[in-house]
Amino acid sequence: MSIPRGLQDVVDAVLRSKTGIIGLSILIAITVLSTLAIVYVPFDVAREWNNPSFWQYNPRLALPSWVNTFLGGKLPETIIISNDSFRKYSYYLEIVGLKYCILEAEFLYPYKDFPSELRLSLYVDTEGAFVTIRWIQPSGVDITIWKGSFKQGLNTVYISRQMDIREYIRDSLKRLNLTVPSIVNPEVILFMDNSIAHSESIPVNGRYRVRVEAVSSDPYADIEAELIVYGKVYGLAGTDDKRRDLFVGLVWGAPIALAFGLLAAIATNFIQTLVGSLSAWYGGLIDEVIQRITDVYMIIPFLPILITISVIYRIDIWMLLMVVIGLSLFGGATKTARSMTFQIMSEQYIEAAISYGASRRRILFLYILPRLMPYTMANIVLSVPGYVFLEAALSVLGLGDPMMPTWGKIISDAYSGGAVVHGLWWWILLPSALIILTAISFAFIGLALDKVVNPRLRER
Amino acid sequence: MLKYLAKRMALLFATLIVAMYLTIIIANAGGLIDNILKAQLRYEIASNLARAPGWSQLTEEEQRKIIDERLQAAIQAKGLDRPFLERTLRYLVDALTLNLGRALFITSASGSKAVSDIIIERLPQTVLLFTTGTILYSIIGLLMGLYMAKRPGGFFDRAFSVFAIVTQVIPPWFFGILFIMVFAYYLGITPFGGMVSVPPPRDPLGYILDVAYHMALPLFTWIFSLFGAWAYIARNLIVQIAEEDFVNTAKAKGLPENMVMRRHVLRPSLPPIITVISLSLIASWQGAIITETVFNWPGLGTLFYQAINSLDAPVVIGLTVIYAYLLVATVLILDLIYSILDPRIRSGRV
Amino acid sequence: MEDLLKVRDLKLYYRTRRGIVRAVDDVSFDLRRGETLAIVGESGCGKSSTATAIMRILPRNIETYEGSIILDGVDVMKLDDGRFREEIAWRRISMVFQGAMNALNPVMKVGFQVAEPLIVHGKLSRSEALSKARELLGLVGLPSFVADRYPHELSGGMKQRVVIAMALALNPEIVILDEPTSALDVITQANIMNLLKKLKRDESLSYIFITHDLALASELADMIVVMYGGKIVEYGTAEQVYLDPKHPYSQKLLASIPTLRTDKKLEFIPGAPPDLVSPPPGCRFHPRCPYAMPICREKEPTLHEVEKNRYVACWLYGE
Repeated sequence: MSIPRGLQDVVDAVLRSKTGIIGLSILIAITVLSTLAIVYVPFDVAREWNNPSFWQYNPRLALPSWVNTFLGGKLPETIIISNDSFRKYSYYLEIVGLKYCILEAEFLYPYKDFPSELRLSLYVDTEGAFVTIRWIQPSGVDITIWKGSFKQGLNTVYISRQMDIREYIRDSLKRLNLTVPSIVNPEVILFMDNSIAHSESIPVNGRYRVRVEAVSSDPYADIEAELIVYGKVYGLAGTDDKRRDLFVGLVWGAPIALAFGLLAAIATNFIQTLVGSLSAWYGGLIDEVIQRITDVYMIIPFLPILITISVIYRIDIWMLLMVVIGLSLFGGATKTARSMTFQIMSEQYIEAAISYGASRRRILFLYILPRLMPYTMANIVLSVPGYVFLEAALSVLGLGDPMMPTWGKIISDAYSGGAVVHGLWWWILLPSALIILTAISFAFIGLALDKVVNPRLRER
Repeated sequence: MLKYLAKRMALLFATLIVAMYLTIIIANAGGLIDNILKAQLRYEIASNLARAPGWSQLTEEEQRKIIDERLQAAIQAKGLDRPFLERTLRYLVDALTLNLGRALFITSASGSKAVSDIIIERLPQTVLLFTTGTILYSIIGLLMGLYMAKRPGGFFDRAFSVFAIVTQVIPPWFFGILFIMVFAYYLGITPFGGMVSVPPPRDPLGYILDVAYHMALPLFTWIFSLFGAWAYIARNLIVQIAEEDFVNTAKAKGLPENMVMRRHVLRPSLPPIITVISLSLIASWQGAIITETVFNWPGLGTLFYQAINSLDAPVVIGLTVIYAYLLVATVLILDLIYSILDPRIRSGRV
Repeated sequence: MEDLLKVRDLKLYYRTRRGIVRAVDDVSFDLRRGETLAIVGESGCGKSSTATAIMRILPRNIETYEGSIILDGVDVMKLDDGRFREEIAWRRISMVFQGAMNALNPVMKVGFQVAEPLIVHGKLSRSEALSKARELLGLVGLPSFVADRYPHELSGGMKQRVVIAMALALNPEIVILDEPTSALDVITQANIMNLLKKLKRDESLSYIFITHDLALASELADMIVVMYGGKIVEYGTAEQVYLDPKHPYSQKLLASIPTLRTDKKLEFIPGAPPDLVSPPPGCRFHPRCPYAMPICREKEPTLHEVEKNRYVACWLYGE
């Protein structure tokens, strides 16, 4: 018996070998991760992944939170001071016809490292207001960081990035007779002890206050504020350059990777095996034609044609799946299934079946194809990683689905976002680790299956 | 043997035609190629006319009329108004003769916009890196496979099989990204990519060393990623052959072990080994596309990447045509080698 | 006639994942000059392993290889591999595998394969060796042009003759033939058997003839050894064993041969060959033996000399 007869053999083989068990456990872990996706990610990922405002409260390029435990907790987390945390005083001086609105918030900064960014949003509910923003350090040093007029509506002050703010800070410090440090980043300056020169290494811990003073001629003027002190760590997997929680992307990528890989592998292998078997079973001209088609198919430049299609037509991931299957209707498995079918055909019980009048189609489907199942299964398992990486490869090239967060897309974003050049290891390595683990799990299971199914590798 | 080769060549030619025609149909399904060609024609006509005396005297209206007339004539002359089948067959002939048109955005270093020039310019770099890499990993893999075939079932054999399977599922470009991070960023011993430093050294020796320096990591990645699976396949083939009766015959004849290995184990293993190489080379050529992109190596792969990003369809189509040729050429060469190595083919039996 | 070859207590065990396979377990026999000794048994009984053990073609997972192989008074087991290869292999003892199958290298011309030992051992030049190869091919009834063919271009019978010619290249004294006719049709089989008889006379050869076909063995053999489960169960002249088999297994073997003329009821031996990793205790044949006695289950029978030079390993005949 050179072709195993049962699914039982197959399952046994996997459970019996060490590699099979390892592979299976990793696969189970990833499947669990996939189901986590449904629970953890209740929103429409494809849409929100590309929606910047959804992620605006996350820091950019933040490390995963657990890294902090190795660093003694020094890296800051994001502190969000919403409008409710601001104490508001407003009063209207009739004499001068001016409304004064003062918002003040206080927060504790206990971290040993500076924040990554600072952002203040002001909602001005009047035609225009003149606003002064002051930053008061724990030591009492009162720095004016901005003075000017704001239009009606939402105004965002990117404290860390705006050049004018740096001017204001510098002027403030000069007036207070403090040293203007050589470092120009506001998120550092505002947190350090400016009375000592060269004290840039650690931020001052303590209670910080932010004070927004708005003046308007409108008696009904109102103002709301929101301050975000962006940290350097976030979540289980950190964030990318668009502030997206990578954990969401990773978790969401799991079912996509599995689905894509499995669907492609199953469809391709089933079709190829069926075709190969038909080719041998019906023989003659059909066999010849199918053989030639298979030969041609195997030399066609698969990837370049895939690229051509992707460039000319915008396709999403499921369209991609269809194209991939279409380009893989014939292949190596066709030939092997064909030769295996020939082998089975020469066995006598097939002759017997024909002689007692079973229809050809019945014999094919009831007797022959089931014998090919273990082989097909091994092939399916072994080809899944290839398809998972194919999707990733297309993402790296800049093709592939632009909306969906797949592992490939994350890796490709990381690569083009300079993760490699800047050492943003979590952005590249976490999705890479997941993809590698998935690939290895299928490879190990496939290896265990291969031992049963490939008669040549068995011990004499 | 000739009959065999003739049959194979016919098949390969058919493959070439099918691959190219498929590409053309896909590309032209929405009339893309037609549009590009028409736009090119219009551009040529317009720029020719712009140099004609008295052109600037005409009104825009008149100019446009003349251009349109000429364009119509040109379209008819070139057969661009014929039915879909005819048009695409014409394009097919163009593709086969490597008449690949002009690029939309990309220009070759020599300033030409002809797609074939652009591609030919990049071809040597790809060949340099990947042919070297493929030859090296084949040899290393074969030696390793031979070594393992002599001690089957040993610890090394089993440990290596795990290595082989892990490197088989993970594509080279993926290792590339990881290795760049490790060796270029963390260890700083290799460059991040590219083929030469900027600015490149002037003297020839310095230039060669610079290229070698840049080639080191991609080459290492390519070999590391591919020799394992290959060694394992070679090992299996050799072990299988080593169990055959004729090997026992050779041993019984009292031949020295080296001779038995060389003549009676390795030599008969070569035909199936060639078959396997053939398949993996086809995959390699395509994997090279992304590996090059990752390493920013200025070959066909990065050209693909650039063409994708600038949506330069003529270049993408041209590259696909070239790849069809490359794959067919590879298989042809290997078929030739196979027919030399396996006498069973020569008499047309297999 | 003196003893050309004396094999004593030959053991060949090899390791598998399931355990140690005792392929050849204490095999002893004598071969006299000019004689044919047939080793008969079912598949897996150890007869082919005995042959490869004598030729020192050892598997990689060898566990035990002991005993004495005394050729013309010299124990060649004691020779190291190099000397065995130079002095004994193919020169004094050569082997004929199943030619119709894969005994020939598919990518080498047949003539060269015959000539190979002449070049390596005989130190002849390539052209000298090739012309001698053509002579050898003529000896086995093949035309000279066969030397330039590849194995796949020859029929089963022709390939078998090539393999025989190859075995004669260095004028050996003993030729071991492992199932030389099994894959051939009856007529070709008869031709090959005739060829073998002729060569034995003309080249003064001694044969060790391995087969599962007892009738075929009796045609050519002077002495017959019956093996079962890696051990010898019966030993005697061809006449004795064929006409008067004493061991139950030999009796069964004979009874299972269909005859053309008589209306004999066909018998077969129930059960399967023993597992060589953990063989049945006591006599290895006892599970399938119709005469099994309690002692058969406990003690392994040794070879008892029931007549002169006639041995049987069975408790039916022993103390």
